[in-house]
Amino acid sequence: MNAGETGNAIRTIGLGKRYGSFWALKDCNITIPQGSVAALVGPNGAGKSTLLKLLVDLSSPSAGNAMVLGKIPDQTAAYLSQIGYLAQEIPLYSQMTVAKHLAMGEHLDANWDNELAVSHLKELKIPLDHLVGKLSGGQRAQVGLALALAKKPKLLLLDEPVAALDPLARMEFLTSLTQAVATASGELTVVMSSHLLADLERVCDHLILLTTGQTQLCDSIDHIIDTHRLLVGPHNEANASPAYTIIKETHAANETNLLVRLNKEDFRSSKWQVHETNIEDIVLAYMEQTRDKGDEL
Amino acid sequence: MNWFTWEQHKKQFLLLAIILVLYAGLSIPIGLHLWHVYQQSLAACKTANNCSQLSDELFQSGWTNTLNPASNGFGPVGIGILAMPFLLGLFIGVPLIANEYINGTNKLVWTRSVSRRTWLTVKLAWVLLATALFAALFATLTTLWSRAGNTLLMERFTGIHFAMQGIVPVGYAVFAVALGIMFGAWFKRVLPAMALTLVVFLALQIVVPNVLRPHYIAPKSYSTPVFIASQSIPAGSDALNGSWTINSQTVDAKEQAINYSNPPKQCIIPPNDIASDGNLIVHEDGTLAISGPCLNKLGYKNITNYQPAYRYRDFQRIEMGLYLVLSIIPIGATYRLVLKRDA
Repeated sequence: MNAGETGNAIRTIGLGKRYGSFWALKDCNITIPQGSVAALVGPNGAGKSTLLKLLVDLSSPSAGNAMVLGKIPDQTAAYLSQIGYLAQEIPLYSQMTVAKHLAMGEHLDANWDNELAVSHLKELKIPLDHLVGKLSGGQRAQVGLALALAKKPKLLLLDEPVAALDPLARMEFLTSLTQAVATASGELTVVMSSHLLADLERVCDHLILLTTGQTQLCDSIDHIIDTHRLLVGPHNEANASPAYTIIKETHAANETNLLVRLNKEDFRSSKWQVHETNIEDIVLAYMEQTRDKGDEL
Repeated sequence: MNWFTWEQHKKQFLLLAIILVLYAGLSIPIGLHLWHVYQQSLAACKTANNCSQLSDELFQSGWTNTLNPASNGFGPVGIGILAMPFLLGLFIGVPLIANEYINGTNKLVWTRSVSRRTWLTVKLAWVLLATALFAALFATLTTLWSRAGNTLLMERFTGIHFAMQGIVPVGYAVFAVALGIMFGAWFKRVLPAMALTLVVFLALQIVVPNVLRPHYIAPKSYSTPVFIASQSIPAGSDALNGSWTINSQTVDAKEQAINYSNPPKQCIIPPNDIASDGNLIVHEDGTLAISGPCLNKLGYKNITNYQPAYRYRDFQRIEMGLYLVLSIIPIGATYRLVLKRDA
């Protein structure tokens, strides 16, 4: 790892993936510092799964490149041993028991921590001698997570792991994840895609927003909140200003709401009431903006 | 990977072992019984000094129906033996990688700490080795069963008898399984992969014996007078006793094939001229016949191409080698498909 890369778990430059003439991911530029827990959000078809697959070399890029832990992702054992990956559908061998899956990890993974996996699953009362095909969705997700975590990865990639889970299973999954991150004390970087913004806000400190295959936002959540504001002011004002970029504009009876990205740090205005806003509203504003642009096309 | 491959495929390996045990239970008693009866009859005929009628007697005794697995009355068994490599290709080969794609488990196993290349190599090695071992044992049982039949009927060089015994089934099975694996990895679905495996392997099983097999070694030939071929092979010729006749045709003195629509005029005789020996009706409506003795006088002859019986083992080796070498194509393609394509 050269000096310039130190501190970044993931850095992509112009990363793109094309299927035929369709770009599933285009011009993706993200930087994720080591030790952060990053939420990967965006509408369906924004390329979230594609990005995660590129990072673990289940897919190879059509453009640009990715540096993960100082290396270009490849299929070697040395690279793969550092990455934990949980695919969206949580694939497991339904005809094998949970214990056999752990044995698989023990045989195929270099740094396998069997005790970690067993204690994790026992704590959740998941029977090790059951066929995986007989488990509930939440239990399957936990087995998938255990298989990824017991690898002792430096980077954990989770593709919508909680999408199909009921609220209780979702909470348990996120608790397991938070515990794992705390235990790793800064050694583990996580990228988790999801639609559930409230969940992500609880667990994550970083946010990547992809829309129609392009990166819209990639920053720490604190910094994103610091640089976005809700401006409320009277109707019929000239709204544009070099001080900010308008993301979303709404008009009520006699007031205008602007969700803006500040172009300079210290923004004050006599014209507008300036409010802090939350990550959910910011993300929605970006997603609406892209959708409306799409409509115009 | 070795343990995991075993864990994933032990049920299939067990099923193959059970099939072998069942087939052994069928083929060994029948084979031993036939060999015993043959030995007894041989001893009896030597005492009576009438061994020239041995095969006729044994045929009449009725047990010829089981003389080899392809005999009449054992149709299902014969078909089962010939279908063995097909079944292996469809049910061991096709699902091997297709099922990983279908269930998404490729994304689980390809993100362990094992390179995809190692994963594929170990899997292919074990499955193809198991296939070869199974086919070798299976074919050995068929060969043992056919022993009396081979000795008595001397037809192991011909047609399906050649294909079901000896070592060629090993080549067939390995190729069929490799082909199934490739199509499974290609289509990521079972049914189209099965269909193509079936079509391609069947095509090869038709083309090889009809087009390639006759020429592994240049055929030998003998010539006989026109229309009275079989009686005139000299005794002791290697064209007798278990040789494989490939084809036979009538040629003129310049070794050109006879033109039946324009035969030599002096040899045309009325179709009902029974007196003339060895005449041949040429037109289906019976309007034209050719005199055999007349053609012989003009230097016409029958040329028969054949492969002598002593080449049987060489042909078995060549054909097995051919299929094993051909297997490199689907195996190489499978590496490309698995390593270069997105999951």
